[in-house]
Amino acid sequence: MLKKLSLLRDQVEDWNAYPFCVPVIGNLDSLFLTSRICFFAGDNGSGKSTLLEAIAAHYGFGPEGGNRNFGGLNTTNSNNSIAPLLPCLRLSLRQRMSTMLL
Amino acid sequence: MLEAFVAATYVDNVAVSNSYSRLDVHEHSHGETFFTVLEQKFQCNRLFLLDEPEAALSPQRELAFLVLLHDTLHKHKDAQFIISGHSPLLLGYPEAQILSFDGGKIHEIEYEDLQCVQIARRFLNHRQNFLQQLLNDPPRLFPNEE
Repeated sequence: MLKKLSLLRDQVEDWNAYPFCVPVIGNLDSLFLTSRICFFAGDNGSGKSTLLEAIAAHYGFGPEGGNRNFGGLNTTNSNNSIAPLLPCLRLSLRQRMSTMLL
Repeated sequence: MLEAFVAATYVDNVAVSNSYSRLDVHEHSHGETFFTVLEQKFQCNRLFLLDEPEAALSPQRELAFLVLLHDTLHKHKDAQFIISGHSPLLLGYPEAQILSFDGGKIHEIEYEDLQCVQIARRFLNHRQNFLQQLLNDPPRLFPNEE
């Protein structure tokens, strides 16, 4: 289970660049997931999809979704936009999950 | 390292539309197709990431979706969901952790304190007053307009 999500703040190069200029991303420290079902709620533009996309990208999915077999990182601009966040994001797991792909 | 990988699935409307060519889209609506895909994909222990699934679901199907979540979480003890959205129906799932992205910093929030829940409740309970207030003193959508 994905248990904790941290922004490695000392790895951030430019706080004014997207997506760090989105307040919830810029203010992110550590986020603890305490349930196997977690909702990201908030207004349009509050950063929900940005963070979800970043988690997806961390696992190798492109912004259009799908699974790793045909998703993967592609070269569209929308994908590049969260790219600076990826090396600064650490995901911690409680235990290993199945490695079977869809 | 291979062991470090975690199986995850990232589903949104676009992905579903693109990935399920096997379903005859002429015979199934977008919402039906979306739901069928979810039913098929949820049959395993995996991290599922869903971006505003309510966009494709009618209220009836949102309720069916809650049942599907419930079944999946009980059948597959390592399944996990992270779901973005603002549906008062979906957010009502009893065991859910809710993180609010409003106000500039992510924080845990109770269901009853969610803005989308409060707005929906006020609207449904006092629709006429609500609309009267809203439309008689409308917020400015186009501030630069004279």
